[in-house]
Amino acid sequence: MKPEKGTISGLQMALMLYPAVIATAFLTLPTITAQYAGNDLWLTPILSGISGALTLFLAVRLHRLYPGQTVIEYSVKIIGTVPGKIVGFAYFIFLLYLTGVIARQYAEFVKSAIMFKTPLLVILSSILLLAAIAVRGGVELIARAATILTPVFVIPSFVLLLLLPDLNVQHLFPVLEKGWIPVLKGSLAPNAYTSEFFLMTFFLPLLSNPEKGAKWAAVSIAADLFSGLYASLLVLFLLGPDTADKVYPVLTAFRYISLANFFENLEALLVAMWVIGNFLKLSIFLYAATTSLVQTLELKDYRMVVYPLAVWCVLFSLWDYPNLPSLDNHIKYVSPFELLAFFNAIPLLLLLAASARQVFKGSPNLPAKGKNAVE
Amino acid sequence: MNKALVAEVTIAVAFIVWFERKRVKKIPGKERTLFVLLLLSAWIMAFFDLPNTPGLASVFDSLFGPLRPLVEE
Repeated sequence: MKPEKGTISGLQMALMLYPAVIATAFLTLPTITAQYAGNDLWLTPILSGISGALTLFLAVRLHRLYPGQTVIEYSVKIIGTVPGKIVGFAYFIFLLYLTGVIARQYAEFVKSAIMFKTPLLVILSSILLLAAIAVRGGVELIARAATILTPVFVIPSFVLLLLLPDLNVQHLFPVLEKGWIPVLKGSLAPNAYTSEFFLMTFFLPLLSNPEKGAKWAAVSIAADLFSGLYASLLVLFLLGPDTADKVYPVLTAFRYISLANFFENLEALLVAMWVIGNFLKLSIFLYAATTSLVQTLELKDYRMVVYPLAVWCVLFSLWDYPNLPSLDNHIKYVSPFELLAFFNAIPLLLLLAASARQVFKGSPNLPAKGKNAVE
Repeated sequence: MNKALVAEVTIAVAFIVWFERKRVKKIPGKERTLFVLLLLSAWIMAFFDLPNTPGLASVFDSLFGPLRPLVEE
């Protein structure tokens, strides 16, 4: 059963996409960007707007050329059946792998922050089971969950403002002491995370008001940029040069909060916020992975494959990452390239091919060949 | 081989088969084959020492390895 058009609203899409990107970015990016840019790390979320704008442009433009279709469906129309199916399958495997990596990042954080003795497998399985139940319920369920849970996810981050007396704005200076190159290197990871907004390609076909889709996606991307800026500045003003030494600077910031010696141990609030954010993120990525498989193989019912794919995500989350440093190493040095390749480079090539086809042949679709006739 | 993982995947696969048993009967052969294949392959994968098995991450490492000097501090 394919979800019909009109299933979700633009606002729901924005509320889904926001945690889908920021949930792990909020936690891991400040330290990565601090390691490159030092005290200029606050510039990197601003620069991630480049990828945000590009991703928005690609997803919306491709959706306008092929209304009602996701990247899996129109890649077949742009480059042919066999190459299109290969691209679709590649997206499926990549999204499944990515879901596993995100689950692993989440589980490592929860284990190291609060549940020291809980086996990793328990944390992984519980969140992926929850995400699978949400995906099996359908995109409306995820959308409604996001409508309630995204505000719940956002509000605790304002608790960090309790740190205002401890913040030192002097940590901002000297600005651009080492020039732009470290900032540009540091902005690669935020750009890669922002390119995950390309997942809107799975939601734009389902909007009840598709003409507003671009606007709502832009709202979501802007919110993501501001959240990244807020987290970076806060962590910079609090920790200064120590930001790069912490594995989870935002966790350190939450641990620092002590109001009247009474409000302490607020990292529990952060972990609760994290569980909610990552539940939404994993649901959306698992939904994207399931949809890519269903559309590549042209299956009729997606619900059968959700639970088996969730089991595969558990496997992917363990595969090839023996420990946290190997995961962190991969996320810092390799992940930016793989994310940008799948969410910016491939869509860019698809858009160029579709535009070239439109210029030379007048129609963005492949020529009619009986079975492959254009609608 | 992680015994906990094998046990968990076995229980998960068994539960999924039980949970979806009515739906499996209704769907066409292609989807049924896919369902069985996904579950069987997941069960077989559980027997490997997954954390130390080279996987997709290693593929991306080798693919984007030459670009690594661009991102080293």
